[in-house]
Amino acid sequence: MEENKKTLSLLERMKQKAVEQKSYGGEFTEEPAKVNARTCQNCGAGRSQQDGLTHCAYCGFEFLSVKLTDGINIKKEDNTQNI
Amino acid sequence: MQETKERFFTFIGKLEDKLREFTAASIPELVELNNTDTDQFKRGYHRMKSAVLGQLDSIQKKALDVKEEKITCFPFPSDDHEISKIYHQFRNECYDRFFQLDELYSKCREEVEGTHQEDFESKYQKILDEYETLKDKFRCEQCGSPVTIDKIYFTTTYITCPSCQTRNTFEPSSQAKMLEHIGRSLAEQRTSHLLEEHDEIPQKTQALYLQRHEIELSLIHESDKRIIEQKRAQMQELEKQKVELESKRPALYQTYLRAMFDEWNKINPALTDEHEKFYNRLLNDYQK
Amino acid sequence: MSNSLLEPVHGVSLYDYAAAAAKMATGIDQKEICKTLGIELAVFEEASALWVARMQEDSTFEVSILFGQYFSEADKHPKLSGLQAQVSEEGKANLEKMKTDRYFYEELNGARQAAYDYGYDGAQWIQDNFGISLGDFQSVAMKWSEVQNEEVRNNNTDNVHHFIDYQQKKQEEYAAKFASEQGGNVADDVEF
Repeated sequence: MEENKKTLSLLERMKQKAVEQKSYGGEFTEEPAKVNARTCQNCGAGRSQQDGLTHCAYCGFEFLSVKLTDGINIKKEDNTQNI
Repeated sequence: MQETKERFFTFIGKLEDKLREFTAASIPELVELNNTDTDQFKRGYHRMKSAVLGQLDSIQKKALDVKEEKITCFPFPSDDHEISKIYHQFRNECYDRFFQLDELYSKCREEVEGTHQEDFESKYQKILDEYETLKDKFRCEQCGSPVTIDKIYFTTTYITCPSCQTRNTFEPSSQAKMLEHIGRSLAEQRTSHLLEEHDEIPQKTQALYLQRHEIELSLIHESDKRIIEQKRAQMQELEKQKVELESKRPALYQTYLRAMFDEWNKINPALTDEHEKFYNRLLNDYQK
Repeated sequence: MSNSLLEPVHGVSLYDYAAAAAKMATGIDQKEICKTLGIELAVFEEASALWVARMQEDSTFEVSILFGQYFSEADKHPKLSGLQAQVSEEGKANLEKMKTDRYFYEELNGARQAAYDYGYDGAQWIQDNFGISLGDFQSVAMKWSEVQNEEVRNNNTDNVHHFIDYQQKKQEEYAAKFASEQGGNVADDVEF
């Protein structure tokens, strides 16, 4: 009986410690899905389908400083042409 | 030696009681915590489990240390043949007793590990439900026209507005970003029975081998020709079954792997090409 | 490049990806990393998913091995090296010591394991007590494990064992400390 009590109080302390301490990286917050659109910070133009993703079609501002390859949804064709 | 042996056995017995008692007491606590921990990664539960396993380790280590100190290093005059023989007998008996504790320790660890349950079906269902509520919810940032999210995305992506052609950036929720990861675990869970079928084969062939071996032994004292023939036929049949089972094993693995990847592809079709390459690699590795 | 699996994804090289992972593990925000690499989240997330897929596809493990190497070299990355998480003076000194003093590294390794065994989040415990982030800890650990692999290759097993024993000894010391803090171990009253 005595034995049992000791075990239980040890477990109780262990549980308290496990639950109450801070986790590395902090609380995980669930972020909802969202939509936004980027406009050119140089000339204010939007990005449209035919202009590609990497550069502003109007002023040539660089949105992405990489060359896109065939990925999952983003494809080679998404590189801005004619710049 | 006799006295040390008795004390050692009593000592191990008490530690075994501790192992059993502590495991039994911690399991309901862990199960409850596994169910109630709201953290995305159940980190509180994992810390608690780790602490429980740490205590089991401490019990096993205590037994191991005493075994080293009192049994392995038991002082006796090594030049005396008779005593040396008795010592080895004593040592073996104590080692056997320790191995019993060690087996119990492994069993307890397994039971504690077994409290970890993750419900991938419900996590996946949440992603599906979420998609239904959000697919028609968004509007173009530029012109305000409705933008449909045409499928479940697990990475941030660009969606073109059908009216003004603006590229909107759609960022999936944190749970949807886990789709690829959850998908694999869920696919494995859904097809685990097929993997088990494959994994059980060595055990089954071993059983057939033993059966055959027993018949073989019984032949030694058999003189009745008719019975000998009968038993030989039985042995052949068992051997045939064993070979058949063994030859089925690779196919069973492939069946499992195919089913698992089919499930995974269904859950996250966007990476089907990549999954297929992974499938081929695993299959090649298996066949090596 | 001989291995096509090492070609960049959307211009994101394996080094970019590994260094980004290391930086995120020190607490740097993903958005900061994207900005520094000159990409958007969409590009980064696709590249990340595809790098994971490349590692899965690669039966030679070349991609994974290189990932580990690049992860520990994040501070030499041409673009990302400039991103530094807030670290206390004490943390900086400890990190430096961990890089140069193998005994200290083994001590922290043992301490971290003991912390897990007593229900602490080992990564958080190291952060709280030594000011070293998980990312920095892993980077240094990868370097020392390369040293150890080299020793195994050169049959210098004495040295390997020497440090394993040292780590074990330290782990036991920390375990004893944690045990007394929680009021002892469950089988303390069982005596031979």
